[in-house]
Amino acid sequence: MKRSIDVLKTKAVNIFLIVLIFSGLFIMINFQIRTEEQERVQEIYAKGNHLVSLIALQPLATFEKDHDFFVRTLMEYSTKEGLAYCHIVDRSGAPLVSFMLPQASMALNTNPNSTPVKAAGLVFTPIETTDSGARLYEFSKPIFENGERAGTVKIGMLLEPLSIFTKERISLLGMLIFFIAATVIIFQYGILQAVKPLRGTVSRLVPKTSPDQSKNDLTRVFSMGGLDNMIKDFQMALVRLKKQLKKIELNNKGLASQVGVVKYEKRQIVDILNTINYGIMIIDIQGCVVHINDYLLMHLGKTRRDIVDQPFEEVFSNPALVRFISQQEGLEQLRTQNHIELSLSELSETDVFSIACTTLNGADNQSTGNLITFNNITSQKNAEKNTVAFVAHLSHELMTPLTTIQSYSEMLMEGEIEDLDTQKEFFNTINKETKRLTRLIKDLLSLSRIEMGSLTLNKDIVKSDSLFTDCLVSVEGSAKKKGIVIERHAPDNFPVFMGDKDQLKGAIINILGNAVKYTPQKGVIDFGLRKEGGNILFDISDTGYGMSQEDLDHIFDKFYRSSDPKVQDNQGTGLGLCIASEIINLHGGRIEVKSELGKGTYFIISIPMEEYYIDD
Amino acid sequence: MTTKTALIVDDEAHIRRVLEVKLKKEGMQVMMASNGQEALSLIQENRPDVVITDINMPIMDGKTLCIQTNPLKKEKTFLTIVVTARIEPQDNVWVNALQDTLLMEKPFSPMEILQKIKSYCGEPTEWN
Repeated sequence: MKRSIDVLKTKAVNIFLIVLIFSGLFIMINFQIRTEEQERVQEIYAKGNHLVSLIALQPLATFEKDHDFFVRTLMEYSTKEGLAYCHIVDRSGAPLVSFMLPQASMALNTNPNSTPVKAAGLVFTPIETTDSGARLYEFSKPIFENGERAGTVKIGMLLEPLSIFTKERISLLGMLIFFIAATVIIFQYGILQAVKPLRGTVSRLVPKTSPDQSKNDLTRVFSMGGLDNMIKDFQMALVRLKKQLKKIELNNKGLASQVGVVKYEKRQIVDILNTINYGIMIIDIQGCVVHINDYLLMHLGKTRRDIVDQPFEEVFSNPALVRFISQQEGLEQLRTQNHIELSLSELSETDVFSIACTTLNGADNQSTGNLITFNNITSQKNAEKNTVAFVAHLSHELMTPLTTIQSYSEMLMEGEIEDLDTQKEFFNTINKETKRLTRLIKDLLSLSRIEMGSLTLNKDIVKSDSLFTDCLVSVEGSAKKKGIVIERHAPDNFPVFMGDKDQLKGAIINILGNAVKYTPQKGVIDFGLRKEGGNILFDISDTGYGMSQEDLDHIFDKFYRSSDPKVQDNQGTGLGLCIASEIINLHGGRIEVKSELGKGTYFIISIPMEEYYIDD
Repeated sequence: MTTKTALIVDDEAHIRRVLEVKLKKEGMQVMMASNGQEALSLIQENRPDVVITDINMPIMDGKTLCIQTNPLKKEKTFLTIVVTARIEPQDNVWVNALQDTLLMEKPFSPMEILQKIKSYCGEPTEWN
């Protein structure tokens, strides 16, 4: 019921508005017609006055003389300017000129207000015609000649009724209606657009009971009436809006915390990238640096500001690297290699880097750039070289005694050695080379155990006097052959310490044996034992050939053998000192060596004396 | 009859000795050197018919010796037998680039060496 009243009100207002618009139009048109009418009347007055005055100035004789010409002129004037008639009479009232249009005669005959022809002075009288609605304006003026009134002229000007529906007026009206209609439509559209978001808000805020109900509510809210309801609805909407706002605020807080977490994780990733010990660089699809980690910055010796946003080729000029990176930007299947190994002058003159490039893809699987990693593989490369060298050397060391054994035994078996002394020599050689091979294999196994970390020390109480004597005895024979004197330097009280006696004995004998090997005949070797601080020290010095600084730098390297012919003349695996130093290291001790070419060599083996307990 | 001359180059005395015995038994004249430097002088002075050399040697290795003596083969060629404990791929490359040069891997047998010499120089009865 209430709704129907509201609708009626709306319709009434709409009708009122339409009537108002049309009334306005009517008043406006009416006003314009009146104004135009006044202008026309003023114009006809002006014309009439002008024409009647012009005729009154002419001498009467002219009208008689040029009567026909005058009448023709008047006829032209009637068609152009609306002249209805013209009467000119002389003093006696006799007509001189009489011109009249037919419609004018009718108007004059039926109208009693016509001015008498002999009217004095200028007069004008409007005469209403009844049939066509045209109005007749009559002008009269006396004609003077020689100061006396000689006649009278009377003219009638016909004013045609004003037509409302002229072309100009209709077009003007059409334009007005068009502009009003356009204004109304635009205004209404503007309102609808302005109200649209509000409608959306209200539709979300108003509880959804049913589509019809919702529509009704909207109608109710936007109806011209029902202001109270509208206010109530808006209050309700406001309450719901506040609730929505709270929800949004809560969501915002959640989002803010998520953003915080993302930022924290990003910082963590950047920290991780900065702590890893290889270089990382990210470039965008234009090839400009987006990110660079601390490792690369440190090696480049530049700041992040110097590098970020710079083209990649500005940072690294190596053409092979630039070509490799540009290849990675192409199709994956066209890539010929997934990494490149290079020395980069920007990072280091000597180091070798393995550079890999990975395409980074965005959410739409489109490439967003490249991740380039720089891994310093110098030590790996050196290790590879060392391994190759080790295998080559090992092959040589193993194959040499094997070749000797094989070739000597072949010669003996084939009966090619008939001489008994030569046969004996060959058997001796086979025996020596077999021992050499056995020693080499034993050394290799020891070295392998040390390098694998599987060599364990069987530590026990070591009586240093026993160790000292055992070492001495094992080299005395070979020293005696060369006439070398070994001088003992032992304390009165031999200390006791914890250690692996067999391993230590092997290590000391190796060094003592080298002293015998590389000391010329009738030389002197000093072998001493002493206690210093918490350490037990073995001193081995000789008056041998000595070593160059180059040899001193490498004597503990695997398979290192001096190129000195005096060394080459003696057999050796090049592993003895390496193994000895490893055994001493395993005991927590160390080996020091001093040497001078031509004077001799001095080794000091230092082993810490651990505390020991004797079980009851 | 012209005696063929062999030069044995090895830093291992035992290897030199066994080859010396084997080749002398076949009637060859044998010279010996313990490194490339010594061998180079002997080759320049004596122009042997066969050079048997190890690669891995001090002072001057066998590879350098072979490369340095290769131009001498333009005047009078001779057989070079290179022995090594381990043949690396690059060894075949440089050996093939040299004139009358063979590569053998250790352990070798003296008989095998002799056969290589015979196939190059012919039987001892033909050596003239």
